[in-house]
Amino acid sequence: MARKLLATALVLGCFVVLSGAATYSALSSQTSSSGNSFAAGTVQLTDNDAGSAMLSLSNAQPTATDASCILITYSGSLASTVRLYGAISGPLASSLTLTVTRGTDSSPSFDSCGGFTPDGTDFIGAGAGVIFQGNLSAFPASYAAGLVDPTSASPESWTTSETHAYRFAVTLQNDNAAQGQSATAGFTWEARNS
Amino acid sequence: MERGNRIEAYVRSVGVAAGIAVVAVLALAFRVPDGTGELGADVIMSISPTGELGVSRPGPFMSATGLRPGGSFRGETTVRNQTGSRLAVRLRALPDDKELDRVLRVEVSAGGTRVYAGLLSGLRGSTKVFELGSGERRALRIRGFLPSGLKRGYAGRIETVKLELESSVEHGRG
Repeated sequence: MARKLLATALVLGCFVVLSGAATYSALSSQTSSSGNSFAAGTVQLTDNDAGSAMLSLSNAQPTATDASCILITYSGSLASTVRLYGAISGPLASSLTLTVTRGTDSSPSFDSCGGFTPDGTDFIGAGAGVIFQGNLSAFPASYAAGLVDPTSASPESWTTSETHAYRFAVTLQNDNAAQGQSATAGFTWEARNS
Repeated sequence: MERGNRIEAYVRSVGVAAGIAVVAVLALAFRVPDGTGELGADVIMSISPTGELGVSRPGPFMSATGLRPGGSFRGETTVRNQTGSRLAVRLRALPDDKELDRVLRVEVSAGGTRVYAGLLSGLRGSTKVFELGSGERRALRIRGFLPSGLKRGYAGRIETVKLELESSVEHGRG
């Protein structure tokens, strides 16, 4: 009987020693993390115009129109929202009607609109895909006032490799005051990640 | 009585042996199998479109896991000139580190013409130029491999290689 008690005590003793050692190991264990690295994300927006102008009217008469399509590609790593604005100058700007339509292009080749398809949404009540329609002189001139793409109510979050096509069409109005006048325009898409 | 004690001792021995056997079987059953001895290299290559150049497979388009000396991997994407001008196009690599720079060899072909063959480190510069007319597309084929006989510098390496397209307008040519 005494031998059995002694054996039991020995087994329990071993168990206590082993579990105690395991607990000690757990309490004193270490881990490390090395090779940490840090890199900032990017916001990058490019187009396919290769430096060429989109629109041109020369010696134009009333109702003369020019249209052009441009593809905008987002290459940044951080999701961003995009606004569109322009630098407009010259008195003829108030006699030109500009329509900007957002969509997709199945075979983009600046400045052809052969593969252009407007977005299905009527963003501003001016037709499918239209995001601006009005006098060129009324086009927003700064990021703060810029057109939120596609609308301020539901801004698009652009992600890496996302592309959108835009069709720009400009028409000379039947306005006698436009005779001999001229205007210039530059358009900017600006992406910001906040 | 003595015979009964012998039988009891015999049964106990058999029980202990059976218990040890069960524990051994369980231990072996849950044993993690041996590896092959050495890790290979993992490589991912990705490409992004630019405004001027579209690609058919943006993002990661080729990868290899456990790449060992003598092993290779291939990938293909199509590049398309989206501008109205003829473009001179180059490609360069932007690896996230230099671990495989001096061991991974890369071959790049554009429409059947080899524009680069050499170490990954050399691709940090750029490939030879290939031209694309407006709207023209060309298959970009890439092969990466570790030379046979390579002894070190690849085991356990993991590298993501971003391929960057660069282009410039070829003035006077549409």
